[in-house]
Amino acid sequence: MTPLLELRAVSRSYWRGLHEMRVLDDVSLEVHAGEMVGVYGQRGAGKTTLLRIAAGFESPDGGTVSYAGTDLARCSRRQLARLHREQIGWVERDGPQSGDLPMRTYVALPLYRHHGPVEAQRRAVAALARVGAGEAAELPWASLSDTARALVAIAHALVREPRLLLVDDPTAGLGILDRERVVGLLRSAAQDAGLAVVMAVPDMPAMLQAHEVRALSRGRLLAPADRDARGAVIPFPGSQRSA
Amino acid sequence: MRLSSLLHLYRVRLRARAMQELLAVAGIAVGVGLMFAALVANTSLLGAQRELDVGTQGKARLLVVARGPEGLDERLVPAVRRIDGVAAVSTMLIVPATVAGPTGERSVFLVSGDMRLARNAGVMVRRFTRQVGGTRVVGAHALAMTAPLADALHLDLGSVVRLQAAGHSVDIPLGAELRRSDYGKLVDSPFVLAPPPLAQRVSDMRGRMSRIVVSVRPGRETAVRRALRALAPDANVERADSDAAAFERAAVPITRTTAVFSVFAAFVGFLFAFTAVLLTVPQRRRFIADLRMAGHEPWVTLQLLLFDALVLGVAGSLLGLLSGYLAIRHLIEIVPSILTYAFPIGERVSVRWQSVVTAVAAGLLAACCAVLLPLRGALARGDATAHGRHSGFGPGGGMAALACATLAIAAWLIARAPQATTLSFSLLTASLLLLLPASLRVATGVFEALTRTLRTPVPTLASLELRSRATRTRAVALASTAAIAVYATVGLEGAHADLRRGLLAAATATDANGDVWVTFPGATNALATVPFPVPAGTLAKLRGLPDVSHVSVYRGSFLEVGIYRAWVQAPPGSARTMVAASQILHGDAAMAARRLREGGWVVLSTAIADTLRVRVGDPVTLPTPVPQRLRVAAVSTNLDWPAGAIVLNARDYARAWSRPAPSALLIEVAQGASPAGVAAAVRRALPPRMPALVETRAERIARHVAVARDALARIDQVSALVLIAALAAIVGAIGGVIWQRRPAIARLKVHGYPEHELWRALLLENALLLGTGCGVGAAFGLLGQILFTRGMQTLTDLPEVYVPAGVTAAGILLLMTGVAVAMIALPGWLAVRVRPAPGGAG
Amino acid sequence: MSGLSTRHVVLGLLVERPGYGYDLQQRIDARLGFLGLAESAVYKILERLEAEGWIEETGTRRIGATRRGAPRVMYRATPLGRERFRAWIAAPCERAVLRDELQAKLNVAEPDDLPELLAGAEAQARACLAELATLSRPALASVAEPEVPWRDAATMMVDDFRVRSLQTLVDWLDAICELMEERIRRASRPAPPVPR
Repeated sequence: MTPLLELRAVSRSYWRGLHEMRVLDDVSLEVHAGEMVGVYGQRGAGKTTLLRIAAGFESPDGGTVSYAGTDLARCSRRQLARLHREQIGWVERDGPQSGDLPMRTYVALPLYRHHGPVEAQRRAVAALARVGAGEAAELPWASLSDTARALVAIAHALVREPRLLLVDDPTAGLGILDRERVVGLLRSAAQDAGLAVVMAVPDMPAMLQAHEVRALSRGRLLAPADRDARGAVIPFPGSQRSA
Repeated sequence: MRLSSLLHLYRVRLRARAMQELLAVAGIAVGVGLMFAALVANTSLLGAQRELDVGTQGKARLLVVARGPEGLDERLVPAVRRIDGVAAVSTMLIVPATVAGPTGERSVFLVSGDMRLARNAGVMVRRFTRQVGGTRVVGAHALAMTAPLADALHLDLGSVVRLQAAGHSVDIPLGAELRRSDYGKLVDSPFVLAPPPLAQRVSDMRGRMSRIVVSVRPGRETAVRRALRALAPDANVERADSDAAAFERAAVPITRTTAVFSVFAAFVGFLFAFTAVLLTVPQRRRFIADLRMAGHEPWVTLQLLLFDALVLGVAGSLLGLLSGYLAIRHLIEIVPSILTYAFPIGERVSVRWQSVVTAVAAGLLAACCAVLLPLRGALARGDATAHGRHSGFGPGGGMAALACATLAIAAWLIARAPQATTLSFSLLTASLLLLLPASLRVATGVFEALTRTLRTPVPTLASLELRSRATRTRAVALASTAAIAVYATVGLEGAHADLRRGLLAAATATDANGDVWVTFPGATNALATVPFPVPAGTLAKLRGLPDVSHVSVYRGSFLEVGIYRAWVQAPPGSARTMVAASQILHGDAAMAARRLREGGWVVLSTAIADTLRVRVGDPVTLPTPVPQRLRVAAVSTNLDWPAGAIVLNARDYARAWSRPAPSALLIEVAQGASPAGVAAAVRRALPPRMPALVETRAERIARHVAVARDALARIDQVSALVLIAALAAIVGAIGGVIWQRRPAIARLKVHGYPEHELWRALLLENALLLGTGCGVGAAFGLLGQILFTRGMQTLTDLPEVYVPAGVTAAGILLLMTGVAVAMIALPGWLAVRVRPAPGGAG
Repeated sequence: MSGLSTRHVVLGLLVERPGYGYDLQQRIDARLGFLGLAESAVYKILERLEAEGWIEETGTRRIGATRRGAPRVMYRATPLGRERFRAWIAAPCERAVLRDELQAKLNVAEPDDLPELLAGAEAQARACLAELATLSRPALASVAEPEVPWRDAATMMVDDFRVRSLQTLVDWLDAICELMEERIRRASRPAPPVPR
């Protein structure tokens, strides 16, 4: 089965003056439908760049990104826009730049292309209610709590009924209960709705919800060690066995 | 995207930025209003005369028109009726007159029609006939007057009116009021109607008529025309709409002058609209980013933007049309009253659909340009998440270089090709706009250098904001508004002053011929074109008065030359000035004056000389009642009269016009005597019932100053309108900008800057911004003035005297900057009272 | 293990409910497996607790077919024992020290060993991820729910600590790797630029 999203040997550098900053170095990743992949990395590790490249917002310096078997580099801008509108949901915590939109309009934005305003708004309100942010429908971004913002961002991505969800740091600033709620929502999107989810978080406990875990460190994406190789590790102090 | 979606998204966004959007709409409205007012002012002028022709002449095909104020013999009528192919004939009398009521006096045209042939005549004469015939003042001794005129003079039906026409003054009852419901727009023209016998008696035209209206059987026009010409060799045979044509000619210089001003005003309006919309760019840019994130292609975004532009454009245009119409009704005088001296027309606004379409289209275009141009970068960018970058008025020396190149070409055109006014004007304006970003950078640099050593953060705060890329578009838009405003007003005011100086110089030269003038009264006779009978012995009586050293006869009237209704001036050979040397364009002024005194020579204005195809020294035969062969002594400006002028000796005039009544008596006062005293003595010496106005030279010059001002009233008004629009545009723009600044101010407050420092920084920053804009605008305005003055001279023949409008420029510069800074003071103070807030975009 | 009082843990289990040696060892293993207590150690602890009077025998019981078929000695906490247990719960806790072999290696390694240390650190990080994968998916939020049995809630909280320890470890490894890499780079360059 071809993975829904496949990054192969992706690399990306930024130039700061004469200094090259290697953000991603030979990164490969496969994500299948129904699977939630967690990418752990501290702030500035390159998680956002990885997601942006996966979404096709940015092009890698080397390597390829395929979505459902199609190389994103070969997609026209029009095709990419269509992907973003219909297939790839992007969850970020920046919210709309037009700070004055009520959330039901913001969430409905991807739908206006094919639906009239009434239908678009109806679906947006439903999406908001599904993620548990129904009360945010009439409010502008500025007056939302961090939790509501995270939920609205997820609703904004889910409203287009995407196949892939790219989630950038959804739990920043959230208390433990809300963090569990938001990550649980993403988990059920993968588990129950069959979406492929890539979630990048600088928070290890959130990783426990993921089916697969990777860590982004110095531009490289680390996979878990093989079980056999575990002998090399000194386990948790005092521990002689696994739970 | 569906229309309903576009509408919905617009509505949702509008809720939060209603203020900004409103300001943009207001900006467009100011622009469109300005444009519409200017366009309508022009078309109304032409519309008025056409109404009148249909009203008085019906659908008659040919006119036999007298060449002079003396008219045609009524006995011609039976002969005309006998011509084969003539279906019907009626006669008309049109003479200048004054009517006086309890509250004043008005100059009007006394119109009278042949009642027996009312069938043939226009609606006005016909209705009048019926009305008068059906009331108790049958056939009689009664006057009909338009209702607005009667109201203005506080006259009721039956009350007595004093009617004065050439030579006579009678008191007659008001027999009918012509109401708007019956006569439509005609009632706005200054008319009175009287039965022919009365009109003829009052105007001293017994047995005479001004014109014969002939309706022709189909296909016989040429034959009838030939027969009419043979029958009345001393009259002009013209098509029925000749009045309108002549009027259009006469109006040409004025329409052209106003057109130049109007086009400019319209352009300024366009730019105001443009800059107003430019202020809303940041908000729109953010929304584009959101749409891109939601996965919409650029063309969907484009749809949305175009919809935005459409809404802005339509709303602004409608408001603009309304405000423009109001401006016309209340601020602009449609028909410059100078034209009413020769044409029986009045004030009326006629709106043509072309004006509406042009103004609305311009409003929409401005909105589209302003919405799309600065966002083309954001639209084209493939990267949807890259936000906050700006592509509007980037820095770039390229733009400044282009600006300099454009300016150089414009300057070259101004110097070398004065006829290419429109082109050089466009180039000049383009270079002004292109140069602004660079000017702002330079001004900011200079400002920073000057304030480097000061120990206050205020200048630093101010220049910080000026240097910020985030607010660049906004800053340039604001500076552009100011620059255009000043540019426009300086250019207009300068050119306007030049024109006024020119007109005044021409007018006063003629006035200097007499220390005391006696003329037929009435405002329409300011040019001394109405001959009035002077009873025998009057001249001798005046010559005998103490302190009178010389009395001479001045003649003058209007003469149809081709399509022009030219002003004929015929000063006596003894006059001090036959024609002002400053007005001579071709030929030797001194020699021309000498030849005019000798007689047999004539000075023609450019348009008349061109119509008659003659040059200096050529023989010419003017189409006077008794055609005379004269020679052209010189070619002059049009001496103030837009349709052209003719100057000849009073003796030559008397020969060429068969009934040479004087149009004015010129009295020279003995040295040391008081002109006012002599004027009083002259008034006493004249017969008591004789309608005559006695003025000293000073009074007459004062009247001409007023006339010159009046001729330019529309330009005055257009230029005032531009000034008002400019102030409105600046105030609107600033209001919008200041309020947008609150989040930035809130962020600065986090660093502990006190309110008064922030306020001062805000004032300083905007003063610098607007000062730079206004300064550049003023400099370009001075160039624009040269362009206008030149352009108008070539277009109109009007006399002009160019004087650089430095003082005007400085005044306007100070006024604009001052008003703008004052406007900032209060909202600025309110804005700096915002709570401190870190980071957030508010 | 000096800081962690296994005596009090065993006492606590008996406060919860009476039990015998093997049963106690099973319960410890289930909840505090990382202690790695053997059954024999449990019997030693029981003896000491009984000697101090904190627990007492309640008799013997034969339970199913157990090893050796020996009867089980049942214990329960005495009132004194309960008192001691409460006092222990309320007393300040000793802080555990995270130890890692890598720390020791760092201390004894030479500069030439840097590449190997780097590789080791990376392997360690990957091992942490692998260990993460072995942990059960927590519903940590359910700790706040009174309906969830306290024992399960306690396990979740203890697991959460393990996850956070892993995060600390991974972050630390990331940091030292970056520093060591930079060190190698600067060492290979004759004239390193000094940005600061």
